Amino acid sequence: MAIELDDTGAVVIVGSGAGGGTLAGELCARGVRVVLLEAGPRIPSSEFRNDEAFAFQQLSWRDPRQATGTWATARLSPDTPAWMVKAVGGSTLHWNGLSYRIQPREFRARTEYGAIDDANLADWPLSAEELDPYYSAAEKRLGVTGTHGIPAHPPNNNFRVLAAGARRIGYRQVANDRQAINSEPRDGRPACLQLGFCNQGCRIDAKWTAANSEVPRAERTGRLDLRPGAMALTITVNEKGRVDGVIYSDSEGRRQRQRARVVCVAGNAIETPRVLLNSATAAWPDGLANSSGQVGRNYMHHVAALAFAVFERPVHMHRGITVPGTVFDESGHDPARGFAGGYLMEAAAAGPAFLSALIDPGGWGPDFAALMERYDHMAGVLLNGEDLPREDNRVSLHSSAKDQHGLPIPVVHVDEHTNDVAMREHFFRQVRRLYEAVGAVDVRDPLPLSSAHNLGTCRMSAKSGDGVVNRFGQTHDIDNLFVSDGSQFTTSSSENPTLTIVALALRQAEYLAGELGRRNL
Amino acid sequence: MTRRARRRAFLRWLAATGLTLPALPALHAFADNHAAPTDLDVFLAALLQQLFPHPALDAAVYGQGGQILAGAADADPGLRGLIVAGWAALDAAGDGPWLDRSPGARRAVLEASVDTPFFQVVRGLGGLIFYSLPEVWALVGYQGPSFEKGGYLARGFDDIDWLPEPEHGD
Repeated sequence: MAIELDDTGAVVIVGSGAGGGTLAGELCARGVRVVLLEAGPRIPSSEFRNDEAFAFQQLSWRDPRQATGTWATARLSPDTPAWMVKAVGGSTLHWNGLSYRIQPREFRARTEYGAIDDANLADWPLSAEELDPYYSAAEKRLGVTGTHGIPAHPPNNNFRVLAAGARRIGYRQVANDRQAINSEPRDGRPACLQLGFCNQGCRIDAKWTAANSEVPRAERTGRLDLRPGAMALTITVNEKGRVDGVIYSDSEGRRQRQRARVVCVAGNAIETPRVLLNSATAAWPDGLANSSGQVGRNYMHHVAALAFAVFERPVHMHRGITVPGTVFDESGHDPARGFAGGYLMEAAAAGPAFLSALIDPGGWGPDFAALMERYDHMAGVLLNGEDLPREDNRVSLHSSAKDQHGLPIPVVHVDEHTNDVAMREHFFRQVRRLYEAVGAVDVRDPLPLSSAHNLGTCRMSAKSGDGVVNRFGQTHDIDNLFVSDGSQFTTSSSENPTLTIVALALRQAEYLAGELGRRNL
Repeated sequence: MTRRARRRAFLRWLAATGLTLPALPALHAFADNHAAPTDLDVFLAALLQQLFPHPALDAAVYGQGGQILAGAADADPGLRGLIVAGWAALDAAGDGPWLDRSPGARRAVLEASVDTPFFQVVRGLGGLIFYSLPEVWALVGYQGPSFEKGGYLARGFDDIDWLPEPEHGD
């Protein structure tokens, strides 16, 4: 349905990914009218290609950004701090589908880990028990394998190598379920055919995305006004101190203002704080809803790295689901290892080109060529570990560089904590043991990676001075302004974030619809 | 999108590959296979052969890679300047043009230049380009796009036969 620009009754959501897309789907189902602003285009799945260079250009957010700090990203790709999607469905188009719940103890990171120097740890103002029903609803909604009677996928070659090595060295928690990829037809989408291109937009829609599930769900209600190509620039505030609209650049490049009853920001943890910071006014000199000074701070991205091993016999890691399963044995908090928090070991594949940049950085000549000729004998594993929030790891506005809309570009600054480094080194040691236990002849330690997980820049807190939003994602400062994406995360946990983003969106939708119904908003 | 714009976009992608999860180029899409090779094409093909020497590959494969890398340089004056200056430095370090020397002599000069920005860029960018060529995929055992073939479900996604079966996790 079309909602007029001067209609003051709708909820305006910025961003159509896991958070914003799900929120739109659930709010519309609850009878709320929604304007959904999405900076990117709407891309039919039939236009996805099994071609990673093409897919990168087709899907990626490539607006100018800057990475600074001690993390490898600032050195290796200073213009691209993170890999995100700019399209309807957001980064659910390239996500791997891993749908893990945050562990109960991880919601209490400050209590469990104690004070850690140079970290800004806090407990979530929310428990696993409170989130449990929303996790269950999210699993049902996404069709997560291993939940609600949905079978797991058959394990592919790459996972089978990881699983066998894990058991050889005594690991016991090895699983290839909990994926939002259909193992049988469900929700109008087919079963997975093991294409091996999960990150390029699932061509057959076996993988849940906000684009193939949530946006259509919202549209079927007749209450959604989806606007692709609409880049939110600033959020406006009325004389009563409440937000009342969003100024955006539409698909024709024209500046528009959509009036709003409520604004929910879900632009990913780089763009969400950016739009709040860019919305500074005389009343909000440090950025909208930023009385705490925490908007943009505590940026987290997971401790990430990819390791590869060569075997005597073929593996063919590229066949099938890109990230097919995980070892959980290192996901606990065990300070004896020399670091706080835990990590997951997720089987992961890469093609030869990407591998050439990772497996032996700077390597060349006959030995390197011989190594690359063993491509089909390789297995790979991804580190996904908890990184610690730090106040100075933050998204801020560049002092001079502007984007195509004339707004300051975001600067993402990360100085690695010693905890991150210790965790990564532990992972490398364990990976070497694991793969050598099943006959690896060569295990390579790669460069650290930035992951695609952006978290924490408008974090949830019990007290208004410690964070930006409350336990429902509602900003402490402005009651009709919400944050609806991974920016809310108080800590990163060791799990992939999407299932939690979806669960929080479902919970927020329930709360928001209730508050609207009670006319509190 | 024009070829030039695609190349520019591609270069931005290359700049990002140090951090992204698997996102691989099918760079043959950028090749201009019908143009006659330029001197730069020939130099870059020889360089790729030194960097990534696969005895089973035909020289034409390196030629194709050299053309694509030269095309990337055409789209980026900074990259082109870096490559041309690096080439001149290789020529200056030894007797006669680098291209006229023996493979062993070429390699020795390259070994002395591994810390230069020129070497690091051609190694990084060259690797991404070279290992995206379908002929190289075939050599290393990568099967590439699968949608048109029904995925890998019936084409060996789980055919590994030298490991114990995993059990479902607890």
